[in-house]
Amino acid sequence: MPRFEPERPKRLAAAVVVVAIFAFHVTAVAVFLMPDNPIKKGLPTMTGYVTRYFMQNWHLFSPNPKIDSLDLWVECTDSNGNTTPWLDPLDSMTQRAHTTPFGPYQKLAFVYNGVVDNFARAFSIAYTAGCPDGQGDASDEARIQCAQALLRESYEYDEAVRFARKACRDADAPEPAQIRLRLARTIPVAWEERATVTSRLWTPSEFYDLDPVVMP
Amino acid sequence: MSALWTKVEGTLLGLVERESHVHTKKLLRVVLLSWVLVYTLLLLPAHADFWGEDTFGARFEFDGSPWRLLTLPAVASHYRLFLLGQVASLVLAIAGVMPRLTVFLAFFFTRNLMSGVDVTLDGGNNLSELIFVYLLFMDTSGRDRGPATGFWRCLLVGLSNAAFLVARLQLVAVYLVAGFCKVLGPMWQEGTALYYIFQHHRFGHPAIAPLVLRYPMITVLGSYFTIAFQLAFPVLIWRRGARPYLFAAGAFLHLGIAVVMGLLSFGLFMVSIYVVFFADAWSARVLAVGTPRSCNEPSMAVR
Repeated sequence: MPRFEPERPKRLAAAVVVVAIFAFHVTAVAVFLMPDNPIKKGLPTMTGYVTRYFMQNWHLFSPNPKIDSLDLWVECTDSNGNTTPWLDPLDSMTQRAHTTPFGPYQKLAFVYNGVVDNFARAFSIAYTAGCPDGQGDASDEARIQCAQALLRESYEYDEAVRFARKACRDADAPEPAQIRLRLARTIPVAWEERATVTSRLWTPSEFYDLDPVVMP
Repeated sequence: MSALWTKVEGTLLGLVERESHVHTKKLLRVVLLSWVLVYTLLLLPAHADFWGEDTFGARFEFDGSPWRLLTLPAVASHYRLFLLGQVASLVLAIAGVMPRLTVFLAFFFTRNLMSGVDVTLDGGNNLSELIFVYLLFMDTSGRDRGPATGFWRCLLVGLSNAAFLVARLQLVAVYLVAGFCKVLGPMWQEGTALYYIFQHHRFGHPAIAPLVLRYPMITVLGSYFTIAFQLAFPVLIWRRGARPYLFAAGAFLHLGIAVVMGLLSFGLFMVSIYVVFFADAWSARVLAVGTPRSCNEPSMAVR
């Protein structure tokens, strides 16, 4: 007959509580990380728990890395009519992040990239939708005009213009009286065609020019 | 049957009876919080661009969460106080001053600051936030307090040990999901994924692009190495003998990412967090480095 240990029941009770919490958490995370399937859809409490308290995404450039991008370029014109070349504000920030890795530039590039991404996404949706009936034809120019008209009142457009204005100032251009925005689509040269280029694979191949914006 | 029950009971009691990995938990606290501190210090020179009134970061409505206080207009303008609080609590927590309290304060300030700059967060930030939550449940004092007695004390010890195991499983989950998702991607299957990533004008280092064109097969080998490592880690990490090799391979992969893609904070974090798999004796040795001999407590001895 084993000797009774007074601590044993208390320890066992504590262990059961810990194991229950542990099992719930591990199962919830495992279910959340599964691909979509009937089990996952049938356990909204578990996925909701992870979404609210332990949100996570580990795709890390998978299943495929993004291989095209829509960048925002800016052209600044001052009150005397002097115009800068097209500027790619994110490019200078990215270069700076590479040359000064121990600094805030990489994360700053993330912030500005967010502005560009949001605007590019909104533009793509509006452009793909095309013009409403009777407001334009199916040409590229008409679709750009309609997309711009649709976006003009949006938060994404306002932020893009604000960002463009900052880009003009950062480029040491005089205070801009007018700004033009251009979306440049960059698609890399495919692996099979790599022998055709000698320097960079990523060069812009399509441009969407928006109407000038007069600064208040 | 009774032999099985004895085994189960022994495992259950072992979970709550005594704090496990006391030195590794302490080292995890020091390493994780040091990374968070360095991360904040890197952002500080441009603090107004991240948290200031004119930031381009996304703005959210206050949803009642204590981790989103900076979305309240009345609080947002005082973000500098949060930065000050974060740095102070991190320094105290790293030094081990009232670790339970200071780690919680560091978490409070960090979570609030990071939720204000969602757009800047990458996989490293995501994992660090999760490990930070698990750290709140761990006893990171580095002291072995002996066998636990009483329900509540046993519960605390059990939660601490379970949180430590969850932190390990979390790192395993990162590689498992990333590895499987890559196996399903045609570019990773063909081995061309890194060729495209390194050439990306937003990710690839300008000096790397010409090298990729000249020696494209390196990117193919690199793509397959990445998948092999991410799938091997979750299996082999449980074998102690394999750990040094996995750590070396992981350091090569992540420091390579840090240099070539400019994802410095992500690369450094992923390498740093390997401490969660350090054997307790390794951690004790690391902690002992730089600690004056006279300061070594008896509990620092390697068991």
